[in-house]
Amino acid sequence: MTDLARRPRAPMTPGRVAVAAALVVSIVYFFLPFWWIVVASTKTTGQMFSSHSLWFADSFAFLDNLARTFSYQGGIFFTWIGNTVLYSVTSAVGATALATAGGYAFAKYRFRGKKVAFGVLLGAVMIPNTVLVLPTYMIMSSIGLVNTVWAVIIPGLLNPLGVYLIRIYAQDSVPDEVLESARIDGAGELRVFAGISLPMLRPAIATVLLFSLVASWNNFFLPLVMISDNALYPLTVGLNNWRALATIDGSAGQDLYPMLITGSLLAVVPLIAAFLAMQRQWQSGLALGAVK
Amino acid sequence: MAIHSARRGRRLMAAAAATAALALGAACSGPGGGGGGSGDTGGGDATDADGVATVTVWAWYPEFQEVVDVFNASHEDVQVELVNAGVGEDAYAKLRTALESGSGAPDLIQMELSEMPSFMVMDGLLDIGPYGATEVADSYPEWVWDQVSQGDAVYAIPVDAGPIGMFYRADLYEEYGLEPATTWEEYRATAEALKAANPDLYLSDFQVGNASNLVGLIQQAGGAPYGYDFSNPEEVVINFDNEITRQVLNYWGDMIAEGLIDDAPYHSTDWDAGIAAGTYLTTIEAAWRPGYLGNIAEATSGSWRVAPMPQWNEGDDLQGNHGGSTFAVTSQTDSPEAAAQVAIEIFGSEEPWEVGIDKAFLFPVFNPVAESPDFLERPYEFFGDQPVNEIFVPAAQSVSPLSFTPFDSFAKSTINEQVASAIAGEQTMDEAAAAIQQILVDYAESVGMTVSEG
Amino acid sequence: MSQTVAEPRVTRRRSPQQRSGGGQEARRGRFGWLLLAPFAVSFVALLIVPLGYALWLSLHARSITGAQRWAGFENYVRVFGDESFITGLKRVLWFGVLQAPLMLVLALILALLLDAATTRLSRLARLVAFMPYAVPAVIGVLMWGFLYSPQLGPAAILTQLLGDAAPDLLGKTWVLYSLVNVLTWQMTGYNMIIIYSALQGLPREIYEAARLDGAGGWKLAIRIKLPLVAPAVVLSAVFTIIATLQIFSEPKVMQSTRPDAVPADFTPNMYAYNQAFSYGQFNYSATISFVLGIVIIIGSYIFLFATRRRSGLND
Repeated sequence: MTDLARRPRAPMTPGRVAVAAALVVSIVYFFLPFWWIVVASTKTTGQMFSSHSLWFADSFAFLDNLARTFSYQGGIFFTWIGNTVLYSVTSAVGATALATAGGYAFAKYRFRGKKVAFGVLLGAVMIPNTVLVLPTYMIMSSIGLVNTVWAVIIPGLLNPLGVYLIRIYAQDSVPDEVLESARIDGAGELRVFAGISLPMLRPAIATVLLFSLVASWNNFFLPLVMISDNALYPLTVGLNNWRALATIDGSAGQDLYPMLITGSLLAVVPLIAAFLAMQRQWQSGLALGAVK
Repeated sequence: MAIHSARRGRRLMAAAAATAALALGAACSGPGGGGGGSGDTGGGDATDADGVATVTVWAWYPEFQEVVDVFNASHEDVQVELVNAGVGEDAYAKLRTALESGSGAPDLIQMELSEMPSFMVMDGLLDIGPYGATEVADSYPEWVWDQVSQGDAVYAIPVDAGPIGMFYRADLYEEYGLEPATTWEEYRATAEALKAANPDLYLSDFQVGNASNLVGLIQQAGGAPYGYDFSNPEEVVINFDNEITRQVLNYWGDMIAEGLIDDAPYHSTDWDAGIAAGTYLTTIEAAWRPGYLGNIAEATSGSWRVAPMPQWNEGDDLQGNHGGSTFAVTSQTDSPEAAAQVAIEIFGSEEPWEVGIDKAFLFPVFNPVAESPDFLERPYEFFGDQPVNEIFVPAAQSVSPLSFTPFDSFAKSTINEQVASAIAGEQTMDEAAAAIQQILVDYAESVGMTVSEG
Repeated sequence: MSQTVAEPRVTRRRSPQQRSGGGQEARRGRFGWLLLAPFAVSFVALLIVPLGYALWLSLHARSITGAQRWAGFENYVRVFGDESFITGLKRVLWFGVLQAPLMLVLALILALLLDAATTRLSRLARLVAFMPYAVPAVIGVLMWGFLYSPQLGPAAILTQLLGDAAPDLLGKTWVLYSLVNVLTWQMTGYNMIIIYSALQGLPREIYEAARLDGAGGWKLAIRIKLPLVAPAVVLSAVFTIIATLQIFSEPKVMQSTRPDAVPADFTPNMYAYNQAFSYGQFNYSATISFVLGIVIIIGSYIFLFATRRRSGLND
C-alpha cells in the first residue's frame, strides 16, 4: 500500500528488523491460546493433566475426540451448532436491518425528537446487561416465549451500537448533494434510501452485520437465563454445560474434557472463517467514526 | 424548538411502546414454540387426552436419560420428559427466575440437599407428604430423611449422598512406609513423615474453595454450623464461630502453614495435575468423586484405596457428608400427584440404580440398594478391586445431623473467601471463623430473617 | 409507497423552494421516523419497558417470604453503604485504569506498524491479532486457565525459576491482572482493526506533504497520523471503559473453578447477578445494576466531554 511495500526487496535496516520482531512477538502472543487448544484436542484427559500443555503427548487422540464430540448425547453438538447458526443469523440480519434504517434516519433526516432519541440511545449502550435480563425474562414469560427460540432471537434484534455506527458512516460517506440531486430528479425518499444510500452504506452494513453476528454467536448470558432445554442451547451455553460437568462436581464419572476442548475448537472455527471471508467488506467499513 | 420536539418525542415513544407490545405479541405467539422443538418445558399441560400425565424434570446428570427410559418403559399413565437445564447453580438460577416471574418452573427438579432451604423460603417446593411420600421414609437413612422433611411434610425424595472417606495411593504409601491414619493426630504425623522422606510431595491438598467439603469436615468433627427448620422458614441458626469449627480450621491452617499440606484450590488445574502426578498421596473425598478422579488420573487407576475417615478421638465413629441430591416437586406443578409419584419411584427400585451406580458413580441412599450384598461387595477397578462400599455404606448410616441455610450459596462464598484469606496469612483462622459468623448473621438479618447464634 | 415517490415531483412543480420548504421538511421528517420506527419499537420493547420494570423493582422490597412493598430509596441507600458493591466498583475501576490504556496503546502501536508496511508478515499479524475477538468468554477463560497453570503450561517456567515463590496467576493476588491479560488478548485486535481502518482511510496526500517536509517513519506516525486517528481512539476508549465497568462473563466463568480467588461480589455486575440468581434478592439486584448503570453513564459522559472535540459526535 505504501511505497515501502511496493519495493520488491527492501534492505534490512535495524528499524525494519525491529518492526518484524514486534510483529512476530504479537503473532506468538495472540496465537498461543489457539495453539494450546489445538494441542489439547489431540490428548486424552489423563494426558492433559500429565503432559506439557503446549506440546503433543505420545498418542494422537484427535480423531477419537472428534468422534466422541459428535456422538455424545445423541449428537447434540450438531443441534447446538444448528441453534447457534439460527440464533446468530436471524438476530444479526434483523438487528442489522433495524440498525441500518435507524442509523440512516438519524444521519440524513431532521425530525422532531431526534436529539432526545439519540441521547437516549447512547445512554442505552451503557446499561449493564444484568439489569435487563430479569425484566426481559418476565416479559417473555408473560407472552409465553421463555424457553423458545424467540426468547433468544428477539432480544438479539436490539443493537444501539449498530445504529450509532451506521449514523456516523452515513454522515460521512453519503453526501447530501447526491441525495438532493436525486430528489430533484424526482426520486422518492424510499428510492433514495434503497437505490442510492444503501449501496453506499454497504461496508458499514457488512461491519454491523459481522459484529452483530459475533455478538450473538458469542452471546452467553441471555440464552443461559432464557433457555432451559438442552436441545435449544446455543454452543456457548452447551459448552458451558459441558465445562460445568467436566470441572464441577456434576460429571458423575463422565469424561467430558476431550469433548469440551474439541467442541470449543470447533466452535471458534466458523467465526474465524467468516472473518476471513468478509475481510474486505468490514475492513473498509470500520473506518467509520474515524474520519470526521 | 427543543422543548417542543422533546415533548413530541415522548409522545411518539409512548405510542411506539404500545405498538411494540402489540407487535411482539402478534409476531411471536403465532408460531408458538418456534423452530426449536419442545417449546415450553415448564410444568403445564399435565394430562393429555389419553389420560397420560407428563412430568417435566430438570436434571443434569449425563446418564440420567437412561434412568428416565427405564421409568417410562415401566409406566403407562405417567411419562417423564427430561430437560437438562444446566448444572447445579445454573439450574437453580433458572428455577429462581421462574419462581419469581410466576411461571416456567418444571414439575420436578434435581436439587442438592444444601439448596432446599433457599427454595423453601421462596415457597418453591411442594409438600408431597399427602401424595404418599411419608410411606417411604423407612427406605432412607434417618439423617437424610430429616433433611428433606419436617414431621409429615415432605419436600423432596433423596436420591444420592456423598459420605466422605479417605482416598489414598496404596503404592506410594507403601513406597514411603506409610499407613492410613485412623485419627487426625496420626494423619498429621503421617504428613510429617512424608515431608521428611520426600519434601516435594504432600500428604494431601486442602482444596481451598471447597466450602461444601469443609462443612463436611466440620460435620465429621461433630459440629453443626447451621440450623434450619422447614416449619419456621424465616428463622435460622448460625453457629459457625465455635470450638469445633475453630479446631478443624486451625488443624488444616497450621499444616498448610508448615508446608505439610498443599493449598492448591479445589478444581484448579494444579489440583488435577497434582492428583494425576502423585504429588498428593491422599485426598479426603465424597463417595461420588472416583468418577471424576478416574478421568483426570486415569494412569493411576488401580493404585487408589479407600480407608475410613480419621477420627478426632480414638474410637469415635463420626462421619461427614459432601453433596448428594434429591428430587423436589416445585410449587408451580399442575400435576402434583404424578410428579410426586415420579419423585418417589424413579430411583425407588433396583433397576434404575444399575445405571446410577454403573455409569454415574452415584452413591445411593435408597436402603434396599445401598444395603444389598451386590452393592456392598462390588469391586471397583479404580481402587484395585477393593469393595469400597464396605466403608462408605456404614459411613453413610452414621453421618452427623446437619442443616443448611436458605442462603447456602452466599454462605459457601463467604466461607471460601474468609478461609482463603486466612491461608494467605491476612488473618488467623480464629478471625476467619468469627468473620464468617458475623457476615452470615448480618446477611440473614438484612434479608429479614430471625437469627439465633447457637 | 408509490405516493411517496410521486410527491416531490408535485411539490417541485407547484411551488418555489421557500414556500414549500416546511411541508417537504415535515414529510421527510415523517419518512425519517418511518425508517427509525422498527428500531424504536424494538428499543422501547426490549430496553425501555424492561428498564422501567427494573426501576420499579429497585424501588420496592420483598421480605424473604413476604410480598413486594414500596421501599422508596431504601435499596439505594443500602447500595451506597454496601462494602461488596463499593469494593467491586473500585476493583473494576482499577481494572479499567490498567487495562484500557494498556490495550489501546498496544492496539495503536500494532495499527501503526500494520499501516507503515504491508508485508506478508503484517497481514498475518493482522489476522491473528483479530482472531481472539471471535472467541466466546467461556472458551477464552478455559484456554487461559490451562496456560496459567503453574505445572502444565508456559507459567510452569515461573515455577521452575522461582519454586514455591512462583505466583499463582489465578490466585487472589494475581487473578485481576490475569484477567487484564485475557481481556487484552481478546480485545486488542478489535481495537487495532478500528484504528487501522481509520489510518487506511486517511488521504495519502497528507503523508506526501509531510514527507516532503522531511518527516519519516516514527515522526510521521506520531506527528501526523496519531492526531488524525484520535477520534477512533477516543471511540475505542469509550467502549472499553463501558465494557470494563460492566465486566461479567470472564470472572463469572472463573468463579466456578476458583471461588477462592473470584468471590461472588468480584465485580458489581457479578454481584448483581448473584444477588438475583443465587440469593433470590431480585429487588436489590436491580438496584445494584441501576447504580452501576448511572456510574457508567456519568463516567462515559465525563470522558466524552473531556475529549469532545475529537469524538466526532457534535450534534
